[in-house]
Amino acid sequence: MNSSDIKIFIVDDDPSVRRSMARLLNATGYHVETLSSAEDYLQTKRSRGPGCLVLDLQMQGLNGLELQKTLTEAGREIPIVFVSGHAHVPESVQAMKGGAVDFLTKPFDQKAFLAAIDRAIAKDHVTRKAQTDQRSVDSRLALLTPREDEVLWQVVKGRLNKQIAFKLEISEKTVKVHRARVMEKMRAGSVADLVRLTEKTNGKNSSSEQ
Amino acid sequence: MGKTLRQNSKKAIPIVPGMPMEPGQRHSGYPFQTGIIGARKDESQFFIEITRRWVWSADAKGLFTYVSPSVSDTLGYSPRDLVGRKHFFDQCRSSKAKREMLTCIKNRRPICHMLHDVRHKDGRVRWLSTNATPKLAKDGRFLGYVGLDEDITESVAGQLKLAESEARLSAILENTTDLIWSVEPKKYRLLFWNSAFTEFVKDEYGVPLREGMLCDEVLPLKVAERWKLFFAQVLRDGPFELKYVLHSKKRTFHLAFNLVRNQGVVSSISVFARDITESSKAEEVLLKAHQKLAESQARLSAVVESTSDLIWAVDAKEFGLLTYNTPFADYCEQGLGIRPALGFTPKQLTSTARAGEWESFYRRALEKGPFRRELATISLDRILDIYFTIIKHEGVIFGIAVFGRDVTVERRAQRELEQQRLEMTRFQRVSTIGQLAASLAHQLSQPLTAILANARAATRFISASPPRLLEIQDILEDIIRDDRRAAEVIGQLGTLLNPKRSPFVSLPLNNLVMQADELLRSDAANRQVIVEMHLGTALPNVSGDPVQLTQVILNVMLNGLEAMENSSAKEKPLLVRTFLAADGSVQVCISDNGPGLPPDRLNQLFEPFYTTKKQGLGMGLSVSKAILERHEGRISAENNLEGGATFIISLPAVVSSHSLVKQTQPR
Repeated sequence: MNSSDIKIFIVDDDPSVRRSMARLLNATGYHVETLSSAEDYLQTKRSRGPGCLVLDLQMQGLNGLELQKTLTEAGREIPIVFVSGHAHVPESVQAMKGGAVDFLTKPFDQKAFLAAIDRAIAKDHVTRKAQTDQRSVDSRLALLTPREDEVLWQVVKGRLNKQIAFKLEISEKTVKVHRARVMEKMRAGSVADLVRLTEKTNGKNSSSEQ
Repeated sequence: MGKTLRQNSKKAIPIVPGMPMEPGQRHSGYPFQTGIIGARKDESQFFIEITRRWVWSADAKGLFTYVSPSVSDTLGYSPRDLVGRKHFFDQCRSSKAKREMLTCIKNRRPICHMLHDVRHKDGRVRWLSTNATPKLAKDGRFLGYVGLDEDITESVAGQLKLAESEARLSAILENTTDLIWSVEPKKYRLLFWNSAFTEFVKDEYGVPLREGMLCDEVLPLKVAERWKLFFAQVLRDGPFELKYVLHSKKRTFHLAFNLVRNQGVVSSISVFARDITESSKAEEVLLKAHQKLAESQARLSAVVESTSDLIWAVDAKEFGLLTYNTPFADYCEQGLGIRPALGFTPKQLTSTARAGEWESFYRRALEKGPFRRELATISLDRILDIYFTIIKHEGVIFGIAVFGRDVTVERRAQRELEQQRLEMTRFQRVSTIGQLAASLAHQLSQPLTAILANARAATRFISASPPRLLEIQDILEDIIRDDRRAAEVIGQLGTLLNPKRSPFVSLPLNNLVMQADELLRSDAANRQVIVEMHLGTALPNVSGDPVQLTQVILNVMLNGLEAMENSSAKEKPLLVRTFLAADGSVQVCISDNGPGLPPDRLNQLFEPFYTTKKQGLGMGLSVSKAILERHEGRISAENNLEGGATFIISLPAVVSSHSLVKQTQPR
């Protein structure tokens, strides 16, 4: 993984802490952007490349948890590593439930910190790849005719051609033709492939099964 | 007479035996008529010479023809000087006597016991008694007188004295207001009385008195019977006195009954009656006063005895006990092992060292007046609140009165309360720490985090090629700064936890406010309350213990934060202002936007254990108040017109130092 492509945001109202964490991540090879408040972070443009957010829990104004919530609601998913002056159990639980990668209690050593950053970035990679894959599946699904779409969801459910023909009130031969087209358009080698690809698509056509 | 006799016997004049010499005989009769002259001449001569009388004869012209020699003993003249001279009648000063005598002579009558005065040769007055008989010739011719004169000067003087003393006595009897009378001892007939008695009887019974009256004649029957009993009693038992109340006039008499004896026989009963109404009234008043005094003394004594306080008094010289009550005695017995007695000095009651201490207290009371002292007694482990005062009457100091109250229980309770308060202060402090622990941990973790991260970064920069030295330099500077920051935090923690009282120092109040703000910052952030500071410029310093004063400001600010936490008006800040008040004190005003204070309980705010908080102990403000009082400062609270409460902390300005305090804006 090329660290230089990765950008890490640090949001902390303590300038000294902010600066030191930035230095450490810098020395490790990350691009770092430091911000003194949650509000400031919300003003930044969504970065294209992978990265993560190092977020202080207690801040004047919008605090860490509130920023996390705001980001989730806005669909701005970014792995968050929380740092806090001391271990607040309720807050840490809330943070982790909200999808935080880690919750570090200050002062922390680089090992734990960098490991958390690594995990966050890895997570971001996964998230970003999944998002890319999904976008590809979606584009393939978009190529299907309505009848092909109907056939696809019947196939994914494991129904036989005969059953599909009955359900859709078409001939078995026609089902086979549609099925071949679907496999081709979805670039699926097998029914198993087809099932995996459509797994993430939360059955927007699931209503058609009825 | 005996004297003259002895003198004459020295002249070896023989005394004729059988010569009658009784004193009474001299005055009786007329010797010349009884034929003395006719006696033998020797014998008559002897008789004439030994007697103090002298005989004389005078011719018809009244000139002495013979005077016996004893005249010289009385009058200093020799017979020779007198023969041919006139008798001494001319010298008589009493005209009455002179006249009588001249009448006698003129009528040739015998002169009998004529008392007259003559002059001694040296000029002294002598009294003579003259007896004389006219001498008549056979033819009846008047030849003159033969007489016998006697010097009765002494007897006259005695009589005069008696008369004088009688007159004096009479004057006394008549002039006194005392009633004096006497009665004879048989039928109690009135013998003698004075004018006071006359008036009294006339006034009281309307009876004029005369000699020999009986009791019944003067007094009503019942009264008379009573008096008869008195007279009988004095006759039976001898003199006595009694108080006699005359009800009709509401007067009281003091009566004295006495017996007058003449040659061992009771001749009369004398009664003296003195009106003692006034004095008996005075006596009665005095008696009542005495009774009242006795009563009040009894009451006082009851109080003195029933109190549990120790009361005693000592004299002003030796400090010996003048009086003491039972609690004092018990105390001495239990504490000192000695039962006290009057006159005991401190040395007799206690050890020499303690006695010296007591003596110095007594002396101090004498010199400087009353004072109060609290003493812990070693022996009984008690605390006595002792009041020394001097006993003074009309400028004379009689001694020192001491009141000792056992205040052990009170003092212990006070001490316990103080102890509790100290513990509470400490607890409060710890609890404040608890509340602030997050803040402190946060504040401490920040520099530590920064230092660690910086150090790690530096390690990486150093091993880079080439080492990124400029960045390392920045890092080192940051590390130093963060380290100082951490040290400050630790310092604050230390002062907050350390219960010892630091000495008062002169310091700017703003610094304390900022320190409190610093400590509360994250707390405020957590409660989402904005703290707004308006710190006055050029404020005079205040004097005090920085830790305690910070704690006060902290407490009040924390109260404000807590009040505002549940308030809907969170957009408004907790306003902290410092300024110089009109009265010259430096003040901190902390205004919150909370629900305000219950108006009817404003005066209870600073009492211990008063709280409006669910989990409050009610110690914060009372401790704050105590701290401020120690600093001669004040704390007060009021509700704002627009809602919320304002607490005003006021501290006296340090006059000497007008150090300018730089205004520091909050971050």
